[in-house]
Amino acid sequence: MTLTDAPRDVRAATLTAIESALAQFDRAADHLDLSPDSRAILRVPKREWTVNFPVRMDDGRTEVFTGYRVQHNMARGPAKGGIRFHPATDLDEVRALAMWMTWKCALVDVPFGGAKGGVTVDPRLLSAGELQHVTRRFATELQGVIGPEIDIPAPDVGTNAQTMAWIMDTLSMHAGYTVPGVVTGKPVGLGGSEGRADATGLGVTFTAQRALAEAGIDLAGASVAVQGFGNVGEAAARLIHERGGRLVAITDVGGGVANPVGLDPARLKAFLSETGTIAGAPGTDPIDNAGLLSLDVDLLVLAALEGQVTARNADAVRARVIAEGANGPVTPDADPILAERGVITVPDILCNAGGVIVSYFEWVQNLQSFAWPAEQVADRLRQVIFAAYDRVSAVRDEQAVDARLAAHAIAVGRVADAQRIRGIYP
Amino acid sequence: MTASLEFDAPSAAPAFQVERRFVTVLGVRRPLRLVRFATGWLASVDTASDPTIGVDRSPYLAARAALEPLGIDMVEAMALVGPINDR
Repeated sequence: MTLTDAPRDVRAATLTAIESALAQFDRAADHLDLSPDSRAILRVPKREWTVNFPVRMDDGRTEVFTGYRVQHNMARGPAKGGIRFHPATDLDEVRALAMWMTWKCALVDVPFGGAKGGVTVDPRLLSAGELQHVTRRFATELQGVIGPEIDIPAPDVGTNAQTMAWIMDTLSMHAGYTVPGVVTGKPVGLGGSEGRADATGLGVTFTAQRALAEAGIDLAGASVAVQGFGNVGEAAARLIHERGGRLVAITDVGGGVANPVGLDPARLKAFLSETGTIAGAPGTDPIDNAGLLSLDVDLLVLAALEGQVTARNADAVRARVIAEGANGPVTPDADPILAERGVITVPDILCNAGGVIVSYFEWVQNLQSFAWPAEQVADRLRQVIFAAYDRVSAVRDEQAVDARLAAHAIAVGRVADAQRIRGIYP
Repeated sequence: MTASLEFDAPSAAPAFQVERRFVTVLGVRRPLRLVRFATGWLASVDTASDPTIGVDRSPYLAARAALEPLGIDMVEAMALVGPINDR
């Protein structure tokens, strides 16, 4: 995944990620009327690690980096969640992301708990060798913490298939044999799953298509704006374009491009690989994040970072449907403003769950030493994510609540139920 | 320990609240009884062998526990119980 996300200094978050995650949990717990015991268990991470580790840099200096791994809950299975390399990553952010992973895995009913990890570093400032050293040393610090039956990392912001290959190789060297199931999102040649690279974007496309249909809009011909052109945003833009959606604006870390007639994501990707940004691509007009968020479009895909639509700017949003490709891009204080204006939001733990669903498929394939063809992966992804969409819609309609509360109530209820059945040891 | 016996009687503030839903599994319609106490809910369904039972602060988790022997999952339990009215 590339670092083509909105930079933190343009964020206008009124709530931090952990505040948003806890507010969403409390709302679901209130709706379910969870017991104080269940709330106390689920409100905090089960385990968390902070590691400070030295790395020899290319110029001979020794630099100390800080990394984190948080396992929020493992009642339903081994923990699962990505590792991000980002200069603004801190423990509270990782805690929030780990909690969201717990709910996401429960909502789509894969047998995983939730985890997340990160290193506070800007990978763009490191050489390839330095990046490998940071990755391998961080993986070593996590020895015993991660593993196929314990906690399975995956790519996230600032990390990619190569990063996962280094982690897998490092832990395999320590084990003395190859352990492919220790991470997902690996290159296909090392036991990665076909379709994993596009999985999150494909899930965003599937769920956005369903939400548009609920609004009486066909994706073919729909106007679409996409915030973020990294792994998720690029794939979503490309897959939406392939299905006839008209991409009218896209932003990335370096700026944004607009064209009311439609943008070609393949050309933008080629321009990005040459220049490092899509801004200034030929045949486009410039647009910034604020301009993109306020466009009158059928579908707005938020595929950058958390805290992009808040109570401060929700009034400006004019999209009919918001698809949350990123985690927590709409803060809880913005939700009622959007709902009042009739905006349909596909909540993040449903919308961007395609990645963890195919990660689950990859883990299963690794444990079985078997590989599924791409068509089978895509077909199973569609089945799982549509089933989750149907469950959220059913609870939303039966209980007359918004989709985010329905999704969180299902997920929190499932985890609380698993926790209740397992009981408290000893 | 001490214990005493009191008989419930109709009052403006009953000590518990009873609700009933129906669930049809494999063509058999069964009542799901939900009893609300001050600190939580008791749910029960009759099966061919025994009545099931689920107890929790949450009506959804109580219903889920009572319905689990019938193969009903959390989401179906939530949809079945539906909105809970505070009385």
